[in-house]
Parts: sequence; C-alpha cells; structure tokens
Amino acid sequence: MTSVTLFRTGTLLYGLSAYLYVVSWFAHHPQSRKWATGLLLCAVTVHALTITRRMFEYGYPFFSLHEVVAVYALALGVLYLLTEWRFGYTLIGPMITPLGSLLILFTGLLPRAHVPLLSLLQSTLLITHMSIFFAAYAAFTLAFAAALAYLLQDRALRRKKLAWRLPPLTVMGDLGSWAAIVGIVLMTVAIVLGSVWAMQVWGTPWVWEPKQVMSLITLGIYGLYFYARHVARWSGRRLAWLIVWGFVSILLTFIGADLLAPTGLHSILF
Amino acid sequence: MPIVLVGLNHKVAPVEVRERLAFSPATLKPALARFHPDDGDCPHASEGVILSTCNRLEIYTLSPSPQEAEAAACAFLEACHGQCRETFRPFLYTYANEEAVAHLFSVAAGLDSLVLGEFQILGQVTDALEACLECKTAGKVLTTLFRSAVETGKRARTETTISQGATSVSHVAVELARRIFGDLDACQVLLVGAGEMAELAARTLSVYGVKSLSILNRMRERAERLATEFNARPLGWDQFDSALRWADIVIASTSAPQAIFRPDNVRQALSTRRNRPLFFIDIAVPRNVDPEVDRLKGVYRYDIDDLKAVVETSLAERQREIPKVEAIVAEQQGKFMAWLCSLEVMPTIVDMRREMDRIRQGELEHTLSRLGNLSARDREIIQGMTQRIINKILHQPTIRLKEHANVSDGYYYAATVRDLFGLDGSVKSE
Repeated sequence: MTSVTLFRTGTLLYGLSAYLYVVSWFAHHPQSRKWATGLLLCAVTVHALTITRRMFEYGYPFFSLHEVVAVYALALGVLYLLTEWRFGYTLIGPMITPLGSLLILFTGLLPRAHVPLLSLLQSTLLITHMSIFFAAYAAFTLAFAAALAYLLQDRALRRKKLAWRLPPLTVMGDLGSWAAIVGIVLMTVAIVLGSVWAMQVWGTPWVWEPKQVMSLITLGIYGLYFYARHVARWSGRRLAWLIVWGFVSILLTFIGADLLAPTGLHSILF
Repeated sequence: MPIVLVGLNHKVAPVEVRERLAFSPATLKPALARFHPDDGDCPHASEGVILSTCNRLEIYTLSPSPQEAEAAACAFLEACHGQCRETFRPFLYTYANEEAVAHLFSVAAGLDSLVLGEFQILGQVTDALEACLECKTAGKVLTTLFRSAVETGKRARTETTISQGATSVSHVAVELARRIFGDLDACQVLLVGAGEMAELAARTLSVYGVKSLSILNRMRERAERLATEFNARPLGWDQFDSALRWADIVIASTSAPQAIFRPDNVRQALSTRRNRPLFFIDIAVPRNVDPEVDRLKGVYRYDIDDLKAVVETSLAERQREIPKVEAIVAEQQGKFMAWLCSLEVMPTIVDMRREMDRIRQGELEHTLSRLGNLSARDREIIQGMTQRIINKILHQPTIRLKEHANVSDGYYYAATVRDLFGLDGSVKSE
C-alpha cells in the first residue's frame, strides 16, 4: 500500500472515531463509545504506519511541516488513548479527536512534494528533537482540554447547576496533572536533544532565539504548575488557569516567535 | 382475539381507590389462578397479565370485545378484593388493540409515570410478566407484548435522555458529589446532625456506594444510634473542627438557629486540607452553612433551594424528550402490530378454507344422495369439480391475505374476512 492510500485510510478512521466520540457524548450512547475508542486505536496504528512508510518513500531522514503536524496528531491520539485507559471516558475524547482529525486533514492539504532538506538538517538527532517536541505539545494540549473541562464544570457547580455532560472535577484535575507531567518530561528531553545537536553543529548549546526563549517560558509555567499542585497546594481552579496560560504560551511560541524571527532556524515552515 | 386493557392509574383514580385494588406479590398469584379459562371467573379471557404498582392497576387480556373484558375485569376485581364495583368502575379506562399496545409501551417507557422516565416501572413490567408466566396465564400474544414493552422501555432510556437528570433532592446531592469527586467510594462523608433528614441522606449515600460515613451530633447518643444502623463512625461535637479537615462531603441538617459553618472556620480548615474540594450540602432550614463560604476557593455549597432548583431543571429537560420517546413507542407499536397481524391472518386463512370445505362437503353429500346411482368415476369427477371451484374462488383472497399478513392493516383484512364469511360464528378460532 502506498503512503497516500494509508494516509487516506487513517484520516477516514480518525474522522469516523471523532464523529462517534462527539455523537456518543451528545446522545449518551454507550455502544458508540466503544466503537469510537476502537476506531481511534485503528486510526492511530494506520497513522503510525503512514509516517513510517513516508520515511521509506522519500528517503530518511526527511522532515517537513507535513510530518510535524502528523507527529503531533499521532501523539495526540496515542496520549488520549492512554488517558482513556487510565481515567476512563470523559469529555476529553470529544474535544481532542475532532482537533486531531482536522489537523490530519490539514496535513493532507499541504504540498506532498519531496523537498530535500539542507544537508545540515539531515540528522536523526534533530528529527527526534522535533518529534518529541511535538509529542510534548500534544500532551500539553490534553492538559489544556482537561483544564477547560475543569473550568466549565467548576463554573456549572458554582452556578448551582448540574451539568450532565461534564466530567468530574477531581478526575479532570488528575488527568491534567498527568498530561502536564508527561509534557514536561518530553519537553525537557527534546530541549536536551536539541542542545546536543546544536553543540555538534554550532558549537554552542543555546543561541537565545525567540522560540527557544518562549519554550523556556512555557516550561517555566508548567514547572510552576507542578510546584503549585504538589507543594504549594493551590486550589483546582487556579491550577486549571495555569495550564491555560501554559497553552497560550505554546501558541505564542508558534505564532509569535515566527513573526519575531521569520528567518530563524526554528521557523516552523523551514 | 383483540388485546384489551382495563385499568386505572394515578391520573384518574385517587389513592384510596388504588390501594384497595392493588395486588401484592403474595396476593397476585392466587388472583391469577382465577384467570384460567376453564375454571376461572373470566370465561372468555384466554390470556391475562396483571400490572399492579402503587400508581396503577392494569389488566391485559385477550377478549372478544372491550365491553366483555371490562365486565369480566370488574367481576374479577370484585371477587379478588371484595370491593363493590361501583367504587372503582367510574375510574376504569378500557383500551383495545393499538391503543392498549401503545399505552403499555408508554407505561414501560416511563411516559405515564408520576416522575417522568423513572426506572422502577421497567422492572415492574418485567415482574408482572414473570408472575403471569409462572402461573401460566400469559400466552404467546401477551408474552410477546410484554417483552416488546420492556424492549421499548430500554430503548427509550438508552436512545433518549428521558431517564437522565436527578429527580429528587437526595439524588441531586449524590449526582453533584459525583460531578466533583467522580467515584464516591473513596469519599469521606460527614453528616452533621442526626435527625430524620440525616438518616434519609445516609440511606441514599450508602445505596450509591459511599463507604466512609461519619456522624457528628451535639448529642453523642443519637449519633451512635444512627451510626450503628449505617455502619458509620459516631463523633462528638468536640471533633467539629478536626472533622472539617478530612471530610469531602458535609451534609448539614442541624436545627441550629444560625450558621455553624462560617467563612472563618471553613477557611481555617481549608488551610490544612490538601487541594481537594469541599462539598457542602445544606438541607437545614435555617441554613447551617453561611452562603458567604461560596467565595472560598474549592468550596461548593448547595442549600435546599439550590437542590430543588436542579430537580426542576432536570424535570423540564425530561419533558423535552417526550416527542423522541413517543416516536420510539410508535415504532415499537408498529412492529408489534405487524407481528400480531401475521398471527391473525394465518388462522383466518385456515378457518376460511375449513369453512368452505365444510359447505362443499355438505352440498356434495346432499347432491350425490339425490343423484342416486353413479359410477365411482362419476363421483370422483363431481368431487374434483367442487374442489377446484373452491380452490379457484379462494385463490385470490388467500394470496391477498398473505400479502397483508406483515403490514399493519392485515388485522383489519383478517377481521373483515372473518366477518364476511361468518367465521367466528361457526368455527371456533384459536
């Protein structure tokens, strides 16, 4: 099977599962939940095969925006399935899977032509650095979804309303914390790998590019979250807001840093 | 024979009437024994199922006509309960066929219940069928009818949200606790006050899986009495402050004249708690928890009016699901009626052919005896001719009837054929 066929199959499965997640959430249909999970598992497997297949078709190492978004969507699916296994079915599924499907559809619209990388960038280390970075972003996206669900439930409870479709507060708090810790670990590993590569190529581990600085700030915010939850013992609502700010910082890393330094090495469009 | 329902429910009959006619599981079986067609009080009823709950008494039978069924039901109830029929007859409603089927399906779906969409009725419908199967009063038609009713009830509850939302104050409190803590297994529940309300709350919570329950009361003896009943931990008033540090859910129902949980003592407790939320359910009037604690982070407080408001909202939401449930009821009713028709049509064909054959045989004998000496071959030819005439005449009607067997108007076709050929008068059908 070519990577294009694989890609289309994966996208279809992802989309179907997203559809079922949303439907089962609205219509309260337990049977379709099982199907949604099963389909997502298939979608994630096919998707991983697609990425591997593309590596073979275009020659390795190979990386473009297409791959970056694909790795992100894949990590989102995998991490979400892990949370579902650990914390059970929650609102996170209907929030995350449509996002994942849209992103995969978006990669389908990106030019598929093979643009060879600069020989400088053809490094396994660099590709691992980027893949892990995007997996960390996926984890933070999950944490953000949990925080959002937390804040919605909190608001409903404070308005003395019984919200049937929102997940329990403590579960959302735990899920958010789990995802944030996974994100912190992945991001740290990714930064270290990037520094190792920079050391080899530039002779210096750190160049203070806007994107690097923003990443440090992001990591700082999640570090503060970890401290606030486990040591300072802030209330759940404030913790949820910290996760939201962390996510805003990630978005700024993407959009803001590219605007500030469009020619920088970390510019996402290469 | 048509399905006929004779009964009364909470909408038409006052409780004084309903309680006198209700059957308990113990009295139901002897009553059902009267139903047997050979020796019972209901000479025409070949099948019967009794659905008796605190809100309704309904008798489902197969009876030649609604009038006969009603008379038989009155006689039956008189015999069972020793009540004069004038006391309950004005309240009875009688439905036949589609109407009876639709009514039972609506009942099973919870549309006819006092609390819309409640679950209990589904179990009661199942129990009614089982009791009648045991006593062998439920035959093929009513068994299928009740099984379809249970299926309708289940579909209504899974495919719509008619049974969702909490409809009582205690249920609301439990659901809110679940919105905060998820599973209630690991929750520490503190009951403050050991009155009647506390007892009710303790009962509800233990039904919903709360494991750790503590009861705090000014008079320790009452706390102890309640604690033994619910396997809970009794606490004295001196443990008030320390209890707030570990409790997750606090149910306050004391008769204290002013708030006993105030922002100052709650804030103090919060400072030593982990970042785990604290949930106050205040069912006391005057309120035990100062509304000002709402301002504290991680504290959720509901007083009795808040809980009642949630109940009203969920009832209103259930109301909105009625059209969807009615569509399911209509669909299930259509399916059942189609099945019933196929059941009615086949015996009708058999009866029709049997009746024609009876006439043919009679006329044949009459004619042959008048014709006198005929050879065996001549007799055979005449006999064959009569047979062919009958076959040709009945060919189209038989095909038409079979065609309509599986559509909803088949019942009317069968009924018309029975009427036209006088089948019910001369041939006893099943």
